[in-house]
Amino acid sequence: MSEKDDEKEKSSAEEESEEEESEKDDSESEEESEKEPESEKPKAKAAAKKDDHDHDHDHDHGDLPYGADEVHAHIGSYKAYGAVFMALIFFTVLTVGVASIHLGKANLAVAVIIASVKAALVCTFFMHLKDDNKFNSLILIAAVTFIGVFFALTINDVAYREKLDPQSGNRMFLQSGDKAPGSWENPIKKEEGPGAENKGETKPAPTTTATASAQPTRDSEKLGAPAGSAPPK
Amino acid sequence: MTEAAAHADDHDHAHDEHGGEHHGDHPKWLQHHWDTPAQQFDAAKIGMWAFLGQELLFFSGLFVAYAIYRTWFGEAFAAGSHQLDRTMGAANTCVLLFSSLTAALSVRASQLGKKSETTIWILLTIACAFIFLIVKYFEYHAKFDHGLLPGSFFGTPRDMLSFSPLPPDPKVAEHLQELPDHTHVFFSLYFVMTGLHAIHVIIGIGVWVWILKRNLRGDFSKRYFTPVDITALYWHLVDLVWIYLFPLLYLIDYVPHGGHH
Repeated sequence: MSEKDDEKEKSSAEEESEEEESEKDDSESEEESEKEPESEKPKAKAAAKKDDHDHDHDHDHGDLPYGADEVHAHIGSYKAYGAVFMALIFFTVLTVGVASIHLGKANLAVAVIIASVKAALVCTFFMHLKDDNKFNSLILIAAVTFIGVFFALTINDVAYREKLDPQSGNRMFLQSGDKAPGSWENPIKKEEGPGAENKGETKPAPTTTATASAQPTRDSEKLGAPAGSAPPK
Repeated sequence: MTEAAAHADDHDHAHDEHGGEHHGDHPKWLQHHWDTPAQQFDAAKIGMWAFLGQELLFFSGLFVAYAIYRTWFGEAFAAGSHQLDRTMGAANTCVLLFSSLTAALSVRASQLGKKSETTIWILLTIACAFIFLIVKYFEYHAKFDHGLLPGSFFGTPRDMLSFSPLPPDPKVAEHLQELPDHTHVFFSLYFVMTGLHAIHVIIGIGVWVWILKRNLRGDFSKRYFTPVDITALYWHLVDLVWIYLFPLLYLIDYVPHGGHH
């Protein structure tokens, strides 16, 4: 849609709504003037009323003509929104393309980075953070920060439980021989086959600890420990 | 309009009687506890952002679960990912991105006071949401048919609507045998994450329909478009979550010519 059509529509729509508004304002002011003297009305209202009757105001940019109390929201152009959309599609194609290139572990990092760029575009432009009250950005940043804390602490916990003592399958500290806090059963156990048999995964509780210490390398090997550490049974 | 005007008048009288602390315009859309439209607008936005922050934290629990299980069961996640229809996923990504664009444009139109244009953009947004759900339905249907189901349901093909087991199909069974252990964990997360996201899409449709109705009723103007703005913010969040779900679920170590299966 060209900008000219835009303007045309805009002015006709405005005239309609302004007619309604001024009607309303007239009836209001009749009532009010009986009750309170004109001088008590704040300037903002007077200014707003003046603008209401001025049908030619502000047809070339998006600022609102009303008083300082009015909402001042940035109005983006079609061009800008269209450009952001095209960029989002570009990054979608990119992420699909990159996924078919073998980069090993970097694949995940690349996918997350591309997704984050897309998310940043959506937040900045579609969600108006660029021109918004900065406090809203702060809320988003705070949420993302705490998601980071959530990930960091959980992954730290999960990743280092196993590393405490690979020899003993992480059931004790190497130096003291004490039971490690949060010591656990590694959920990775070879099963006979996939499918409904998975239901039978519940482990024979009393024996597993003993089994695990008897075969110390079984768990750590699966978690990506050096392959040469010990062959599985 | 006369009824609305009368209503606005009532408001003003009420304030006068309460000692006249509120001066000036109190249009019907300006709630009495706000001094100015700007104050009301800012408060509404901050409230919505607080909610969106909560939504992100809420979803992040699933993403953390995903991270842990993917570290443990990397092979199963790759195999599970290859069972998903990448084309449908990519198409749905584009549909959702486009709906985010139309949502942003509906806000723009209502900021300019263009009622009919706002209507068109909202309708397009709703249409995209339905397309997304229809594609999702077909994807889920295929997964049910192949027994690619969450947790203990994994391995038994089921009818999607009645959830009753389908007659055994040797091809499907053979295919399932080829999948590594713990693929059911991937499908648990797949269904919970996309399902929760789909619930957000459905709620979004409901809110958009309500906003559409209010727009047609003429509630919004250049001076008051907050509900459209806020609804669009919610819709962008739905898009935001999908932006992460798509590569994490559909594109794990993707091998173009079926090196795995």
